[in-house]
Amino acid sequence: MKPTLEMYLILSAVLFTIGVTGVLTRRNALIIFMSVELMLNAANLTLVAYSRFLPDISGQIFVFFVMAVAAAEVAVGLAIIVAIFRQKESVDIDKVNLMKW
Amino acid sequence: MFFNLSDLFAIAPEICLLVLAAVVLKTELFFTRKPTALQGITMAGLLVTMGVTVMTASEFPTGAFNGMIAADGFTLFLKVVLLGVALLTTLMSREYFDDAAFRHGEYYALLLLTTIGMMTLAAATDLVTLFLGVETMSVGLYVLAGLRHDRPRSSEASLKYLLLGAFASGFLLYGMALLYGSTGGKTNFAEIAAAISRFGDETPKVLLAGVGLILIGLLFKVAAFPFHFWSPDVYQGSPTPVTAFMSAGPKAAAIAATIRLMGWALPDLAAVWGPLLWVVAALTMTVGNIIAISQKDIKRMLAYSSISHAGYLLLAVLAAGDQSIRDLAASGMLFYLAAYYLMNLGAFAVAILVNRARDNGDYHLDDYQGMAAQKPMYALAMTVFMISLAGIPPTAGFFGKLFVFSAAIKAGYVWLVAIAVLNSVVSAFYYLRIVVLMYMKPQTSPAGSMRSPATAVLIGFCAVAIVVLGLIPGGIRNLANSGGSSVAIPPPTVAEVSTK
Amino acid sequence: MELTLFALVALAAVASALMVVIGKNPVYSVLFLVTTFFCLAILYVMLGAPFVAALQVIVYAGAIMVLFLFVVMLLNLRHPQKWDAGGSTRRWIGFATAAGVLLVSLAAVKGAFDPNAPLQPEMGNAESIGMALFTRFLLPFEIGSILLLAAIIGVVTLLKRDNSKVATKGGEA
Repeated sequence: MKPTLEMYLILSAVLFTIGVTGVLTRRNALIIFMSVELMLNAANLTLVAYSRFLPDISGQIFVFFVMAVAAAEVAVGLAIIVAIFRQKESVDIDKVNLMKW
Repeated sequence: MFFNLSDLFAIAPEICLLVLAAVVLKTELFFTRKPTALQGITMAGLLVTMGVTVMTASEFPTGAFNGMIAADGFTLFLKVVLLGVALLTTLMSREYFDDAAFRHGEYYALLLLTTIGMMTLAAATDLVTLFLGVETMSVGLYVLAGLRHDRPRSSEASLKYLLLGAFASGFLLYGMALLYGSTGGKTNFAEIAAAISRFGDETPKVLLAGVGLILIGLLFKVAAFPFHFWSPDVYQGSPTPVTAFMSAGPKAAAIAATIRLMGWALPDLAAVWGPLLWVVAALTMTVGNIIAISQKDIKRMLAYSSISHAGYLLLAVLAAGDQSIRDLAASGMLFYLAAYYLMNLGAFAVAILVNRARDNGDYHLDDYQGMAAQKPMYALAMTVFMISLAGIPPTAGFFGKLFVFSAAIKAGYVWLVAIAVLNSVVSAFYYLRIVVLMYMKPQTSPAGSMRSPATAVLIGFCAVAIVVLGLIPGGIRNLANSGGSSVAIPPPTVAEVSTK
Repeated sequence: MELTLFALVALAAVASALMVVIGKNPVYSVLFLVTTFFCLAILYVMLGAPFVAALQVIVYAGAIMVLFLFVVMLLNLRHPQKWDAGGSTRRWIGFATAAGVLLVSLAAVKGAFDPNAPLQPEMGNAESIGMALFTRFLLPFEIGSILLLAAIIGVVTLLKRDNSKVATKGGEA
């Protein structure tokens, strides 16, 4: 027996939720950012799963673009986190805030 | 053939901006680091790009690059508005960035690349282009928000924008993935609409969840309630020209993308997203206005005011859900956006000027006390901006609201328009408070001295344009109308064309 | 057989994803995230997408996560915190939102239609992806390059320290 589309979608929903939990409950900017990556990957899994079962190639192309976007976003995001760290010696979003979160 | 000349014409403005960004970067690297020279090159290039945009515009609404983007009047109008936003931001930048170490070339290059992202977003007719447009715009903005290394607030604004923006992108992408799958592998807007209409009354739940998640992502970019909470802090912390840019450009691009996505891809689901957006629009304008009243900082006040304006703009999106009203709603929105960027950027330029006297990074409202006595012209211009933001005739802001509200009434949203009008009355209170401060209170602080004549040009231009648009709105209204009518019906999809 | 493999990989993916979120030390989080990405790569192979699987390993696990690891090491954070204390209101709002997201998405994908069309073996290879990428998706490809250019300029702008002006740091504070 083979795994069905539904199983893949449930798996990606669970991974997405774990990512959301991480973003909303952690205070370390790096871990929050990693949780966002987890969310993007959950979406990628959905795309590839649909792409296989429909079948249609554009889902995989979409994943290709998401990876490019993730690379750019991670580069910029880590640069911002390093810039914050230089000022505050911390990446804790509660400590970092002068302004209200 | 994968693309032809008309496809290239459709992206001519983007190509121009890319070349311009490269030229600015190389000029800084190899020839001169003079801020004035770099600013001049950027402005000249933007003007040329505007000309190219108008000249290469196709007469007939079409799609380009296999239905990835649209080349129609709607896109044309938005592209000119977005170029205008970039141009005015460039004009006020010299006044703000005076640090000798500041690299103007990189700043302008980033501004231009972000503008390309916004244009792509405004033109997108495919989920892939929509996503890439959103991300190109956002990545540029994350960096722009954090440009002032020397101010902790700026870095914090950028971190906050990054984390929440990336979070919203996650929702947007997951929603797109579900939409893609549930429509049988469609990413093109018109093809999605066709796939959805085939479902009839039995809309799959996955599809609805996907639409909901996409809405969360887009509403975040528009800064609509309840996804608005990032914007006051980000606006306050960012360098002021960047704030001005952010409050006008991305909002325009994101709302345009929303109107096109909802109208072209999801018209059959209007019964689902309509009530949702109704509530969001009502809360967005109300919350924005009420919190704006209590603000003491002009940048925060303008941030909340821009949240409430997003609420008015959502009215246009709602009205556009009705196929027969869509052209009216879209043209009203275009006019509104054209008016909005003029008054908002003008107000921020005055804020930079007033703040120069203080130079402590605070933009306190009290700084405006007695400004009329010392700087009568700027006080007059600021009065025009505030009156226009409040939507009082005879200004462009009045007609923007009039066109949007009348389209919404035609679509049957009478109660929502009533809420919007009430909100406009409330908003007049905090806008006119600044006018009162300027004219009726004794002066407490020295007025700022201007560094760059470009700022005076900008403020004068914005004020005059707002009044002219308020007295004779006809010309721009006609352009907006032709733009609006082009978005009413999507052009035939690639598949439809090839079967003919 | 394939179902067993799927169950194992899915379990590993979820477990390591959980470890990313509850881990004390960011370094562990990075390593667990890499594990999750490898699991996803295996799933991509099972889904007939070898090209995407290769990209997942090379680009995601290889390049992006190494960047993460590099920054985590560079910052050398002193105070690792387990499931950060404080802000309990925020935490509960977080859990509630996450639970809502999970419920909605599970309810949505439950009974998602399963066309089960025959698998086309050549669909996920480099050739077919390349063909689609440079014909129909040519424009997004170019926009992607603009995005990367913006990111490069942005990172340089953000992190370049000007030797001449270091002294003025913290002007506003």
